[in-house]
Amino acid sequence: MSADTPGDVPADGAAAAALSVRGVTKTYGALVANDAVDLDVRPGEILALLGENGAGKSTLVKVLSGLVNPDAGAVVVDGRTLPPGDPEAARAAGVGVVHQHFMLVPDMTATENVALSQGSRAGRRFDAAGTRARLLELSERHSMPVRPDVPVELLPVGERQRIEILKCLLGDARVLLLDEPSAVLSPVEWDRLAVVLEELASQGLAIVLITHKLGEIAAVADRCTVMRGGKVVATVRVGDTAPEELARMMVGRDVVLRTERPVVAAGPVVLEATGLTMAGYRGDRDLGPVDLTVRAGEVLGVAGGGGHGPSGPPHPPAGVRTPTTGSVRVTARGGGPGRTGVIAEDRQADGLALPLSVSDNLMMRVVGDEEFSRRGVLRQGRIRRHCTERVESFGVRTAGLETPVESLSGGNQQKIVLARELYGDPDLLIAAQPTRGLDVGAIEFVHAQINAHKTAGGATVLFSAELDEIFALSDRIAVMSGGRIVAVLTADEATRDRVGELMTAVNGAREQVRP
Amino acid sequence: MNRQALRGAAESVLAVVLAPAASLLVIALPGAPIGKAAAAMWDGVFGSPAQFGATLTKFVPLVLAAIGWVVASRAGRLNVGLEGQILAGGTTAAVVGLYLTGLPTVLHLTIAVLAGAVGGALLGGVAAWLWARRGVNDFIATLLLTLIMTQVVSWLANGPMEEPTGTLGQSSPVADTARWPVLLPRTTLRTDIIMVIIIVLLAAYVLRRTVVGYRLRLTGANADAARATGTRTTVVGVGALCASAAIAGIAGSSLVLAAPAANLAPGFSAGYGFDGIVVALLARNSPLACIPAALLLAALRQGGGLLEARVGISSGLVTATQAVVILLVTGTAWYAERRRSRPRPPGTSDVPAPVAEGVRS
Repeated sequence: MSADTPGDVPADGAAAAALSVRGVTKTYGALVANDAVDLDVRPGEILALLGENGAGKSTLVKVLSGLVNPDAGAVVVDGRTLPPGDPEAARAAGVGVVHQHFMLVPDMTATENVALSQGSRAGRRFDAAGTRARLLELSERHSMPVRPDVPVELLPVGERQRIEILKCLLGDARVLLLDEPSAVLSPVEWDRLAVVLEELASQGLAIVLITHKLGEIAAVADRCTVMRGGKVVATVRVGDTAPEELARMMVGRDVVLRTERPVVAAGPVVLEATGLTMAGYRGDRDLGPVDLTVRAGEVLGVAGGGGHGPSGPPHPPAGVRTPTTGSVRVTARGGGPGRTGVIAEDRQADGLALPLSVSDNLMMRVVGDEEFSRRGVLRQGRIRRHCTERVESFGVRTAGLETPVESLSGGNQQKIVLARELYGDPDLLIAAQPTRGLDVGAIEFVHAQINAHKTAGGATVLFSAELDEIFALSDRIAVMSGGRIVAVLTADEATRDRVGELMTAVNGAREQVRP
Repeated sequence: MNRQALRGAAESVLAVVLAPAASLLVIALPGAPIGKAAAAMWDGVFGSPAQFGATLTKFVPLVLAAIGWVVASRAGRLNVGLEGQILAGGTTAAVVGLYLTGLPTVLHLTIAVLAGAVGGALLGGVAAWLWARRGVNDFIATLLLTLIMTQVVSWLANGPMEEPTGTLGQSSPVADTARWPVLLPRTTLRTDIIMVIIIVLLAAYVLRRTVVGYRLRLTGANADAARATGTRTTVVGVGALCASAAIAGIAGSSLVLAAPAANLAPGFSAGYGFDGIVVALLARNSPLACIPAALLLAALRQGGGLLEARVGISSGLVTATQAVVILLVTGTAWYAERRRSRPRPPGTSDVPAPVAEGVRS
């Protein structure tokens, strides 16, 4: 395919480009994060910057926003070359960045955060009323509702993201860079954002959408620049390029985008949860009452959650949180109490002890077993053999067993969680957002592991904000809305539209009822 | 990992070299003769067996307090009340040493030391209970209990436990059978230093090689993950606080049972509980590294004493030099910590992770 050479689809001359990157190179020690990167975005265009974790996207964003001083190359905005490594100059030239991890002061309101970003010349007065008015005006014009007077930490993630975007717009941004904007959004929120982005582009803004999700690119982007290993692999027109081709360019090999769902005869009931209720937690909605039944050899996908970002019901079978009422019974396939493995929704918060070693993280559940400790003393040799086996069979890339987990990539961290939680064939696997933040290669691996668990006769409950993931893996799909399960569909019955309708229908009804 | 450990060691060595240099600089500022001051400091630490013995005597409570801090903080608990637990342990040890008489040395001493551990653990247990059951911040609880304990010891030494004449504001010496035997003749060093070394080694072993130590480290590293995978984190937290306090209590028992006066006097803890935290910081919470770190601080304390006596530097300035050293040491530790574990959200690392993903091609 002709798209293999870089810069196949040039912008219409560099002069027309709102933002041009020319030969940007940045190295960290032996690692070349950006290798002679070229990139153009025209006004009114949405350019997707696609690449796996570690492809150099984030480094490029930092160069563009002036946070990082490149070794070579230049960033040109509207024909003027930016002084390297000067965030203030980049901002003044109209480069607005919405970072993946928001740059908002949590206990300040939206108005205050926006005012804070409006330069900091000494002696200048803080015009709260003016800032607030302009914020509201922009918010209305672009239909991005925000509450200007509530501390940002109390706002849902989607709203915080809108504040970030409005912050850029208020700073007269002509180029808007969004770093993985969908990572924190539910599918519905993402759809809304996509509409806003298209509208902004139609008004002449140049938008760079940094992502590793192919679906998003197809939905909104005009052109797509693919990066791999710090280099630009190709720039292609999105309409002319199949997703498989984009994936191949991104990963550098053929990728199975759709795993074949194995069909396994359902066995005895493994998970039986009845009448679960729980008060809202961390901004989630109140839960329940919820009933769930999952059989051996079956994957139950749970779609939908609260309006505060994706959130399924909690994971009481795992003992992570205790439900207020209701009962949970996990039965082993052969009878008796069953074992549960949990892929925690937030692996860094609930699944891993980041400062500890790979080996320590693999031992969490089993350290007290006869096999690995005797009279309270660890059996070093057995532990080392066990961990080596786990690391090898799950393909964890680590320098050694003593490496702290925090220095591994997200995909490798998730592999450690899987290697630990799938050890000893648990009867029930609870997988919450198992592929969040992972790149294509790692997602493929996680999906394969979930299918393998199922084929081996295990039961699985899958919570995911990615409907595609739910559809790809689930035998039955439970749709949640307003903290309750509103329908359970078989894989054959479920369509994207149907599930989407069910997820929003009750929410809409409730919102109307609310005064 | 190894390179990191090596760098950590290099930073510690740097702190050790810089610390005396910085204190000399502080002394030189008002114009004291720096050569003489350096000589005095050296003599204060190594000048004679008596001086060196005195340094090691100060080392004992310092290293114990540091180990106490390490045990609690590895579990994620902040036991800043080591000072109070030293007082509590010293008090219970003194009670046993004074009033439980007629026992052979081995037995009496053992019981007195254990009483010290129990006394410390009881005070730490109060804080642990408040933390586990009432949600009181462990930092606050342990600190405030120290203030109470200071007054309790003062009252005991001037009241119920005061020596028979009732004029000195301190208790009589404990029975000879409850005192640690002298290790080096004509020095203040007693055999408790051997017990101390054993405790350090034991702490290192337990943390690294046992299930209890594993659960403790896990809880400290991420309590949520620990709880989700079957570790009872509240039990671990309470246990760590109590163990930490018990070790501080043993330090307190040494300050009574191995001291020349061997009695209970107000303020006998002399800030060892707080300096122990500095030692642990310098040692980066590694039990074994507490030994050299405690030696350094003990030497500064001891050398500073002779500085005052021989060069005529005011005691305030000597304290100031120690403060400079402490700042320097914590500064190095903080700097190293910051460099090592700057929060690095996935995909945004500006220091390349040693293992990158997606390079399979």
